[in-house]
Amino acid sequence: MWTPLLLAFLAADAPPAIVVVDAEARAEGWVLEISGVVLEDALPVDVDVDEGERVHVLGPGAVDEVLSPHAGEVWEVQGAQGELVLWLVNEDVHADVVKVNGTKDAVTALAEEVGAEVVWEHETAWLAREDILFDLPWVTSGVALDVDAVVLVDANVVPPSRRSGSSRAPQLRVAVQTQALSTLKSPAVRMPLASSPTPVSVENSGPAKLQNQQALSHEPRVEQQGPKVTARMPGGELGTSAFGHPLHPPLYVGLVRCSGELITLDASGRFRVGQSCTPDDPACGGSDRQWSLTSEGRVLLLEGDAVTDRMTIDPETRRCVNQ
Amino acid sequence: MQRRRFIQALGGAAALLKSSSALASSNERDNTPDLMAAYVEAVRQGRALLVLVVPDDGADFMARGKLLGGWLVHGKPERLAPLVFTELACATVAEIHALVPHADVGAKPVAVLIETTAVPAVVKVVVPEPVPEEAWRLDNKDARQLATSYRDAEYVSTLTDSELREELSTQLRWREDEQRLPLSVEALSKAVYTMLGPDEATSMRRVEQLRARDPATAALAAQWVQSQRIDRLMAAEDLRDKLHLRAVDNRIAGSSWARDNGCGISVVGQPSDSLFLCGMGHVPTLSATFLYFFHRS
Repeated sequence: MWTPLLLAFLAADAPPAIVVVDAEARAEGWVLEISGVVLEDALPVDVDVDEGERVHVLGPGAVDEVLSPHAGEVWEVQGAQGELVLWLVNEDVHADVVKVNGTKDAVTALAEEVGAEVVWEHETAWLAREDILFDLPWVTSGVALDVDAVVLVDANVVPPSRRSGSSRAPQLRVAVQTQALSTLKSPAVRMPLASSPTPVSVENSGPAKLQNQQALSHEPRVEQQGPKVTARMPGGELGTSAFGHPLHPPLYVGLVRCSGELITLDASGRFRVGQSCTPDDPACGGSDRQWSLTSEGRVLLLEGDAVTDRMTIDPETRRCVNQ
Repeated sequence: MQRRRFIQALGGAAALLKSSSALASSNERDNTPDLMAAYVEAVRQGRALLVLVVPDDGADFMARGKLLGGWLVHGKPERLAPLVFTELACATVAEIHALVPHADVGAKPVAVLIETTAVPAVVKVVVPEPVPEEAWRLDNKDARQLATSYRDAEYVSTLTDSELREELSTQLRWREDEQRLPLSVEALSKAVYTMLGPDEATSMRRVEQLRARDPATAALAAQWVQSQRIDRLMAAEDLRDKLHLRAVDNRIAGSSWARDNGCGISVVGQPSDSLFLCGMGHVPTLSATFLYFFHRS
C-alpha cells in the first residue's frame, strides 16, 4: 500500500524538464519533435525525465539535435541560429510566471485553460499561477495553441503588479517555490546549434559533458569547466551579468558574509565556510569544495559535482544580493 | 496530464528542502586578510599580484627585508619597469597558501607571481639564480687585512681575546653581506624581470590588462615595451619613478618601510620614539632602506 505513495513522493523530487522555442527561432523554422510528433506551436514541451524521454530540435538545413534533459532544466531554442540555452527552474527562470505574446483571444483562452491570472503590460500578457510553466505543455484548446510566443521570465524579475505596487492592477499571487538544489547538475550554458554542419546528438550529462559539447561550437560564448570558475570573457573584456555585475571570476575572489556565514572564495576556485577554516582542513571540505561563476553572474558553491548553493554577489560591496 | 498534476502536488515538499536564500548579505571587507585584499586590489587595478615572501623565521626578517628593499629602491630602471604590471604585497607562505591553495610554491620562495586574469589563478614562483659563494666570500688576504685594521684600533686593547674574535667575526660577516647584497639584488631583479615576461607579446597583453584601469600608465608602459635605446631607458625611468611613488613612498601591504642610519632603525609611519637602537655601524646605501617585518613576530 505504501509503495506507490513512496514512489510518488520520490518522483516529487524530480521536476520535469521543459523545452521551448522562442519566437525568432520559430520564425526561422525551428521546431521540436517528441515521441515522433512534431510540435510547431509556441507552447513548451514537457519531457518525462524518469522515462528517459528525448526531444529532437529540428531546424533549417536538416539540423536534428537530440536533447536528453535533466530534471529541473529548461532548454530554450533561441534566435535564428537556434542557439540552445539551458536555464534552471526557479534559479534562472520563474516556474510560476511566464510572458505570453499573441492575440487577446488566444492569451485569454490559454489563461483560462491553465487557470492563470493575467496582467497586461502594453502588448504583453503576464500569466501567473503556481507551476504554470509545467502546465503549459498540456494545453489542448485550439485557440490557446495560437499564441505567438511563450517568454521565460528571469527568476529575479519581479512581475509588473509587484513592481508598480498599483492597487488598480490585478495582483499576481505568485507562490515562490524553491527546490532541492542537489538535484540540479549544471549551470546555464549556451550552445549555438546552427554552426553544426551535420546532425549532432547532444547528451546532457552534467558539467564535464557540457564542456565537451561546447567544443563542438565554433563560437563558444562562455567556457564551462565543470566545477572550475567559468566565465572567461574574450580579449580581456569584462562582460556584465544579468544583475549588472562584471562576469570576471577574479573579481569575486575574497570574503563574503551571507546570512551570518563567512565564506572565502579563493583564487584557486575553492571555497570554505567559517573564519577558522584553512584550505587543507578536511572538516572544511578540502579541495572538494569549489566555486564557479555562471554566465548569468551567479556564484555556485559545489561539493564534488553537486551544487550546494547559489549566490548573487555584488563584487563591489562583497554582499549577497537578491537572495 | 494527470501524472504531471500528481507530481506537482507533491513537489511542494521538496521545495522546503533547501533554499539559496539561506545566504544573506553583509560587507566583509574589514575582516579580509591583507593578501586577499591585495589580490582584490590587483584585480581592480588590472595588474598581477607579486607577493614578496616574508620568511617564517624571524631571524631571516632583516636579510630578506634588505634584499627586497635594496631591489625596489635601488634596482635598475629597466629591471624595475615591468613592476608597473604588478600590485605588490608581502605575505608568508601560509598566507599565500590560503589565497591559492592549489599552487605549490615550495618551502622558501622569495617572491610569487599570482596572475589575476582567471580562476584558478596561474601562479609562478620567482627563483633567483643562486649567487656563487666565491663571488662574495672574503678570501684569506681580505680577512687578514680586516684583522690588521682592528689590531690598530684603539678600543681593541680593551677587548678580551674571545670578544675580539667575536668582533672580528661580526665584521667579517657584515663585509661579506655587503658584498653579497648587490649580487643577490641583481639575481632577484633578473628573476622577476624574466618571470613577468620581457617579450613584447606578453608585455603588451599586460598593457591591455592595465589600460582599462589606468590608461595613462598603460600608455607609458606601452612606450617602454615598444621603444628602444634611449627612449626605452627614459620610459623605464619614468616607470621606476611611478613604482617608487606607489610602493616605496607608500607602505606595501603586509610590511612597513624602515631606515637604518647606522645608529638605529626607524620605521616609517611609526611615532618618532619607536627608534630601535641596534648599535653603531656602517650601513651600505643599498640596505639603508628596507622592508620591515618585525611587527609580525
